[in-house]
Amino acid sequence: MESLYTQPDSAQDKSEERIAFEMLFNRNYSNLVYFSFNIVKDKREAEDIAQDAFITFWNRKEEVAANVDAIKSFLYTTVKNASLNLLRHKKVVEKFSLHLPELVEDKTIINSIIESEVYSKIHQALKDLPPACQQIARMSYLDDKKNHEIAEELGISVNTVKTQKQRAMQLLRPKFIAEIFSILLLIFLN
Amino acid sequence: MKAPFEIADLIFKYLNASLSEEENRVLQDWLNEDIANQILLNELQSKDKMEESLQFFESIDQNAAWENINQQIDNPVVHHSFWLFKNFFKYAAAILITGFVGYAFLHKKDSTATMIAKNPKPEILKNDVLPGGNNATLTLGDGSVITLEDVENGTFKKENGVKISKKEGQLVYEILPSENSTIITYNTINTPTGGQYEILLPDGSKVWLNSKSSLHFPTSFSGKVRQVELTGEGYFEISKNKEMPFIVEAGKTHIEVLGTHFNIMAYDNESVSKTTLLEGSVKVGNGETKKILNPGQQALIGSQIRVRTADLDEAIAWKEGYFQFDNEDLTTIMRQLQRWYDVEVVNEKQIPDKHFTAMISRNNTLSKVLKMLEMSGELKFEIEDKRITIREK
Repeated sequence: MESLYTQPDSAQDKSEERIAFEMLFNRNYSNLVYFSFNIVKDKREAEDIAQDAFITFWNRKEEVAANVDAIKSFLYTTVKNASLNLLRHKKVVEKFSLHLPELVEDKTIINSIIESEVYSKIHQALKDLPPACQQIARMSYLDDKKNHEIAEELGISVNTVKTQKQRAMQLLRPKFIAEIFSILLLIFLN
Repeated sequence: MKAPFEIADLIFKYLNASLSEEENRVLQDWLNEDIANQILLNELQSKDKMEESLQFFESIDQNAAWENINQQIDNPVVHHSFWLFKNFFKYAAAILITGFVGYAFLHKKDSTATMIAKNPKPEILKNDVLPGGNNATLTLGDGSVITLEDVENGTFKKENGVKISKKEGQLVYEILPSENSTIITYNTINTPTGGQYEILLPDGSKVWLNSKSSLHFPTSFSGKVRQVELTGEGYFEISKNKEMPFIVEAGKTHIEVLGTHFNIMAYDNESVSKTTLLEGSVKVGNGETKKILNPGQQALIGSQIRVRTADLDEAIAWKEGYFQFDNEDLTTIMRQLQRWYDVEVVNEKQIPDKHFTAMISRNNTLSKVLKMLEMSGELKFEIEDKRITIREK
């Protein structure tokens, strides 16, 4: 993968670096919160831990290999350690035994990373759908409306409905589209 | 093993029905690797779970978080120290040895090589100490003692129908087919502090002996059981023989197997012995109770036996040539360093209560290992006359 970070030697490089950092943050913040939350079971703590991880990375970015996977590994490792330590700390405070759940096991951690990554990708894909596309897809798949019904309701041509549906199909393939939209709807209704 | 990010990518594409043939194959391989992977994929598709997760993602305020982060990195003086304080003390200092970070996830040997190479070159501490190596002494049945370092590769002894040879850090026992001896002799191999050795027993079983350890064993197995005695730490790959169980006595720990892979850590100065099972099944006992372990489990044996899920990589890291610490306390880490570098720790009873997560090659000199631990920013080490002094910053 291409390098996100190089040693900055001018102010312009610095601002470019900041932009890259923001992109990194946008793509990885919520998955890290989710990952931490799976361990610490406290959303505020999980958010603090994920934010700290980005700050740690920013302060030590020269020490981390300049490719996206290495950076992500760094972030996940930092979040994992902070989360487990918080858990240990809590347990001591609560005078529970020091025995930690199976989460410490590598396999579980790895699967938890996979889960965070997959769901964050799905979430991102949904957010990226154009609004018109979202609406039509929802009416079609969730409300099970026919093309002409949608066209009538929205005051557009049947052809436009067809095109929008195709776009949605391309962006989100049918395998999970119905499921996703039913979920999305619930979220929007809440 | 594939990186979790790559797998996540493939799963997303699978859900999206956009996997290429090649990608599909990679995903299938991953699914076949472990039943847990299949379970994960099923779980990820559960409607309830997906819904819950997406709601969670929706509820995260990314803008507020970004503002927060910007504020902290734009005011580095105040916030940097705040950050250090918060993390290193509040979270009891889990540190990352930088350059090893990728390793925590991509834990296979090939990636380790790059990790090691990427280590920043630490300056060497004064009075550096070299790492241990393949050293051991062998005590034969007649009581004579051989320093294995001084022995040339190749067969160096034949006694009672058994041929003993040396091969680059490995001791090999073979039964001579022509001679049918009924006399059983016992040999003992001892590794010093900073030593390790590999033994191939006459039944084909292999034992890796860590430093400051010993294995007492018959040069050929006969009778109903194959029995050996261990002190210290050893990793065993026992060849299968249903008629002749393999028994390891390690202090109070008693381990009985038919054919399997496991690690026993039973140093006198550790409060409990740890038996970790990688393959097959073992029966562990302490004279009072007995438990059966499944692969991936570890038994902590003291006056009681406690079974827990093991960190397999950590348990056998020494055999692969690494120290691996998963949020390990400094006292335990120092004990490992003492055994491998033959050093002492000044004020051993007052080692700071810090935890470290790291993976470090055992081929490093002591100062390199200590320098990496120093990168936490909290501790300072000094070596003098093979004695380590630890100072808190």
